[in-house]
Amino acid sequence: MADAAIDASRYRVAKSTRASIIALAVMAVLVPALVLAPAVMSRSLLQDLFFVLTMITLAQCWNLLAGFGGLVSIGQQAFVGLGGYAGFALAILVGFDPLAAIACAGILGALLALPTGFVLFRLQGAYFAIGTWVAAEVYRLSFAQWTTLGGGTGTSLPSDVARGIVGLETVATLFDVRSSHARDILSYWVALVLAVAVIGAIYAFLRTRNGLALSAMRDNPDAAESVGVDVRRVKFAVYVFAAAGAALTGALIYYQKASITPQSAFSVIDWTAFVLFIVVIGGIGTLEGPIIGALILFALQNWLADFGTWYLMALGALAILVMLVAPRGLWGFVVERYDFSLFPTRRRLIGPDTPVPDYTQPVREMRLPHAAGVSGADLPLEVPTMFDIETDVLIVGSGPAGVASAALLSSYGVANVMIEKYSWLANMPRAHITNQRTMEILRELGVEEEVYKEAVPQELMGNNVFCESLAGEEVGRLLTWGNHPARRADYELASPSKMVDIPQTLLEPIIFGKAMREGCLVRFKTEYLSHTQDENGVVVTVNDRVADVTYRIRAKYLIGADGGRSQIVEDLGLPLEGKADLAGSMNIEFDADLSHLVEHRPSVLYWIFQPGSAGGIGAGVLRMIRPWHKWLGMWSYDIAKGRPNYSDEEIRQILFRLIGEEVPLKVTRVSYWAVNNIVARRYSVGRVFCMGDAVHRHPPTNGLGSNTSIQDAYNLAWKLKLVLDGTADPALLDTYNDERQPVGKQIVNRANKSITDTLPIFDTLGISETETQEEMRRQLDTRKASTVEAEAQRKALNKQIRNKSYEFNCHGVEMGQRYRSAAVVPDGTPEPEYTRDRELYYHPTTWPGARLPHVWVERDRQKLSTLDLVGRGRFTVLTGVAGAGWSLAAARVSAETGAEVRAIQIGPGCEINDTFGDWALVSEVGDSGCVLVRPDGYVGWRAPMLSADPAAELRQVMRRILGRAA
Amino acid sequence: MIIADTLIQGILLGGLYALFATGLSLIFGVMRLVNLAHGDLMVVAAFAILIGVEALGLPIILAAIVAGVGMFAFGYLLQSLLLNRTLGKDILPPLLVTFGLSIILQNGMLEAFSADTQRIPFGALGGASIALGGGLAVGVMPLLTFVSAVAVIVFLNWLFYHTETGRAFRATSDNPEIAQLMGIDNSRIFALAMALSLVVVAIAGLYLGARATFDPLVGPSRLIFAFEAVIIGGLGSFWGTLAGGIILGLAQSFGAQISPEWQTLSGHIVFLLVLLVRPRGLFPRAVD
Amino acid sequence: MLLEIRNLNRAFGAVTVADDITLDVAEGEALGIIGPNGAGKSTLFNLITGRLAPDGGTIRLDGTDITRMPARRRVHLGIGRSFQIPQPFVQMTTYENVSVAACFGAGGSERAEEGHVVDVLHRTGLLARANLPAGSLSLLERKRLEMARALATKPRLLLLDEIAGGLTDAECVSLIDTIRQINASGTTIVWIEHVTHALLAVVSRLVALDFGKIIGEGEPEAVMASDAVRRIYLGLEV
Repeated sequence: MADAAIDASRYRVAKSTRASIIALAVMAVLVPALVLAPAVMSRSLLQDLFFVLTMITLAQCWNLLAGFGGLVSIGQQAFVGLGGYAGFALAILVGFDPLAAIACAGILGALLALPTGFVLFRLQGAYFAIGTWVAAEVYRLSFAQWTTLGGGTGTSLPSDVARGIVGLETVATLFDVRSSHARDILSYWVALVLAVAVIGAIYAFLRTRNGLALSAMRDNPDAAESVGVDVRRVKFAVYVFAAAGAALTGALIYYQKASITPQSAFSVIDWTAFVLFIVVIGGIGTLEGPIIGALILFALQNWLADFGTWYLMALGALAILVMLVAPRGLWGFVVERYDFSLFPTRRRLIGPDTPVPDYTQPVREMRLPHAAGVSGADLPLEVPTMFDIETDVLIVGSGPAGVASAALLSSYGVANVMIEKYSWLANMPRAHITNQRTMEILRELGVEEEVYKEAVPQELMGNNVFCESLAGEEVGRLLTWGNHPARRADYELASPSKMVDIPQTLLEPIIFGKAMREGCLVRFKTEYLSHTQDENGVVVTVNDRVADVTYRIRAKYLIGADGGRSQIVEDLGLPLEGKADLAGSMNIEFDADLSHLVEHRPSVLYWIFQPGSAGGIGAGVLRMIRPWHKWLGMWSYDIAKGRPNYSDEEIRQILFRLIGEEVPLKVTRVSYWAVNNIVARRYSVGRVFCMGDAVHRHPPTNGLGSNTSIQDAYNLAWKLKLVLDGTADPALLDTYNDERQPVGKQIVNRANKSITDTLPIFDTLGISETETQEEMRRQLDTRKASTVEAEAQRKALNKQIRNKSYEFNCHGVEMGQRYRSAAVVPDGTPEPEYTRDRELYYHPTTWPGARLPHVWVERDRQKLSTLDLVGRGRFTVLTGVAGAGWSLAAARVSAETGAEVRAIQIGPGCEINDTFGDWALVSEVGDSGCVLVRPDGYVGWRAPMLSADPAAELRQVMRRILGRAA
Repeated sequence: MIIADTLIQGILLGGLYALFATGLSLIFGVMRLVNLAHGDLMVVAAFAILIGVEALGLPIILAAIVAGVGMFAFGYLLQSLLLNRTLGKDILPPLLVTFGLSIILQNGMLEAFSADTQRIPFGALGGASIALGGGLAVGVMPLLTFVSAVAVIVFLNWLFYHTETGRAFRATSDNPEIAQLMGIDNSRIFALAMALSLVVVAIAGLYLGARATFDPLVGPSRLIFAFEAVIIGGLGSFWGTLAGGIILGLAQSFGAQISPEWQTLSGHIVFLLVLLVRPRGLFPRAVD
Repeated sequence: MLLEIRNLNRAFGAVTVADDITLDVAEGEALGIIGPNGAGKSTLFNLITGRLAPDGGTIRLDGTDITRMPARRRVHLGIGRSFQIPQPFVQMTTYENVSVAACFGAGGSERAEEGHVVDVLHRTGLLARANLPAGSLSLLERKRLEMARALATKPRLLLLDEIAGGLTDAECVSLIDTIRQINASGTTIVWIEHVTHALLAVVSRLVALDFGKIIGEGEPEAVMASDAVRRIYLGLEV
């Protein structure tokens, strides 16, 4: 919002356009030419021009009333007739010069408009329109009673009266013509003057503030009143003006005709229907329209008037057509297409920061629905159109990455909109393993407990069984997901959160709920179509599939989380490396009570070696969705042969092979997917950031998919927040790509490798080539022999099964990412060595780029993790007892940079107590040193001890991270 | 005597005007549309009945029923294909389109039937009258007209307040957007309303042709009467329209005692007076 | 006292929408008005602005009795009002919308008011949209336009009617900012609002209405905590 005062002198308001100045010049030439025209024109041409000019005048007056003022009248013939009769009365009965009679007729028209308007303004809208018609009828009937002027049959102008007009002889002599011709010339001149004067007067009026008042009254009379416009006065002003114009024209027309009847003078067809057609076809609400319309009518009249009724019917049909198809008429079309105006009235504000839009581009009219209680009578009939949405971040896709982004951004206070093509979140329980890093993020969001309630705990996850079938012989078993006592310690030490198994169908709603509570705006059944971006933001075109309406969403940044077949990735042209469709796999969801087969060995995954299952993910799998009655069976198919068309019975047979016995079961869904080995080489272009499956596509082995997706979101969210609130430079957003792309690459490789690690087991067991159950059983039995080969085989099998720890106990891969980017400031120390296998084991360190290690500390007797002290959208400086200098530095730098940097001292006597002394152990800095933790819990920098000028150092580091290093 | 007679004539004339006006009132109530071709459609109906009787030899009742069915269909199509597209915030499109329609209808009828005045032959019934005693008599035709008007209004009231369709009409009239959210298809409702309105118009056309002569160009003046009856009576209630018609009929009836021109003029003057004093009509129901 | 309302009464048939309302608004103050739907809050605004005539009671603006004054004149005297549902002049540009208000509300020619209009557009953050038709503005922008139009009439007293409804938190914050600045620059504000946290961030005094009657008045926290208010909000609002 603006707070500084503005220099108004840098702004000006322009009304004229180049076109209008040219038009003015043209008029300056044209009008005198028209004045001189009688010298060269034939009499019939003169009469034609007279017709055109008078119609133009009438049309301009009507246009002022209806087009500019919103007062639709179909009774202007009242004043035309009045003018005609007044002119005649004054000329014949009172003896005025016809010219004076015409002028006075105009005044009379204006005077009578006052009481007429007074009565008629009690009506609104269409009823006002009919009321004007009634008024005209009243006038007609009244004048038809006036026998002095011929009553119902009318009268004619005596020729001596007609010739009594001033200047007739002069004109006749000047142009050397007879008096009737001279009368025509004079009439023509008066018509010309009248037309020019009326157009000039209207134009001048519209350019004053009264023009604005008129438009305001047309658009919303109530609101106009409330800003001080005297609506009644404006209404009367235009009504009286139009009446005067009509009366003057009527008087002139009938002077020229020299005879009058009530029928003709008050004819609806001649003075309203034709005028309506002129204005509507020419262009209502513009000054140019009536001119064009009059010319068109004239042309039509000339060609078609002989056709009598057909001509009128054609006019009627034409008016209907124009009203439906091009309601703004011919000139309206020109204005819209070319923003071209000869008589412009729009005010344009020109100055810094005030763009003048390209008026030829359709600016979408936003139709906002009215609140109930307001009369909806004037709402359009079609289904309410969507309006353009504007937000800071648009998220496409409501998978794990999408909802996580929405929840995080919303809780950071960033306005965001999430759109999803389908009508709800995941309906297939694909992702399920939720590792500790992800749980920590959910912990920060405050939904950790909710997840624990819904999830299957770690203890029930870890008996990874390798068998011939569930009921059949077990070939080997591995304790996984941290369930081995030795590994359990690793897992418990590493994080305050526990790894769990929760199907995507249950996890997404929890995160989604958080996002909604925090203010995310979601649109389901809204499909991303395309986007464009420029230096100010992104415009995304989407389609609401319910209303089948396409509209646009404007955002400063776009997050593409639209899954493994991401359209956004394709639109951006992100380079992808790797291969898709390496192998085919099927998921068969089914309900069956298998507890008797698994309760003694609870696990989330059971690996089944069956003939024909070795493709796909490496073996057949039975995965527990809900213990122990909801399952997912995985089987492979030859992707080269395309999707198989299994019947229901064949599906059941596959399941029975996996289970090993024919238990009662019910198949609920079958779906097909392919193994991919794809990672994007770049995750972002400009203001568009892709995450999740869109940029790393791999099989579900290792259970890393949704975890990585959510962590992608976590990495980007705080950066977007800081850039959007101006604290950080947009360069910070580049670090998203630098930090997460290597991770994506690593997990894609790891997941694909895990598949290949399964094949050796088949080989060792000798069952990779078997085709029947009997064959397989015979092979499996070989390892039970007491031969030397069998012993070797048993040893090999043992080794290979333990090797699967790289799939199921890959703690290092799950927890140990270390970032290298501009948002990590090295402290000059070398990367600490990996003392154990870096994939299997997590190595906690505070080396910049690593995640802050977890240890338990205490505040006021409440147990907290170090991870609870950091994150939440702000920077944190962790220091010890001797680190007060860092606290002060943090406060200063916080104020200077605008980024919240909170300092926390850990140690005796401090806010946080290092209960077990574990922090001192893992902090890797001295008591006076500090660890700067980024809003995503990763270490941005550290110092071993207090430096001479901690504020300067911290400032420099922060500026680097925020991308503001000079 | 003359006064009583004029009174009765006026009231019965009011029945005719009420018939003219009810169709107008119906569509304005439901969709805020003023149909400037209303009067011409009445004339079309009258011609249709005339053709049925003279060219096809149908009995008048049958011809009227056929015309009624035809007008229903025509009204439905007219609204769905043409007029629904014009509805919206701006009053100009429907006004202009119906005005254009009016011109087309008038000139079309001129082409087809020439400008001759016509009359639907009711035979003896057309001129019959019932003696009331005391020298007063009521024409059978005018009485029939009045009774039909009342019947139509009773039917419409029943339709609007005691049926599902009527409820949809009222819901759409109150708040088209919410009605739509509740599953009411506004376009269909409007088409139905227009179809219904034109059936009433057909009945009005029947009596128009019966009571007086008509020609292709007489539509607009009937429209004005219809309009005046609606305004005098007040928007939103059919009985109000009947009252408005009766008042107009009375005004014209008394005006006619002065001269034929004063018949119409008196009606206009009473209309303007009501407008001045009670712009919302004498018995308004709707909050508009 | 800028605004003095004494025993204001208004009923529609059997429904009393203003029941003996007596209220003072000091110059420069920011007063909030809360109350359930139908409590008569907007009606009070209509009575103050002259859109509705009272059955009894008086209203004085800076000493002048405006009870029977037509609405337009009250605008000229310095009462500005924004509508609950934005009512832009859709076919006019944003600039023109504000300009017409400045010319007719504050009195002056277009040229004379140009600087003022630019300033108002700047303060309400609408400069970038100045040349766009008002019909194409988003909801927040329309609400800002409502305020801009009211401000353009150079009001001494600005009446805001439920202006925060339908906005996201971020939009709300920026709106609150603007309102604060307007109040700080000397304009008295009376603000009806349902989004109470927005209200409480700005106003120094709160009035609670129910069934057309004032049921609470004073320090915002005290009013919010009062039994009468809590009964209404906890009783009627779930």
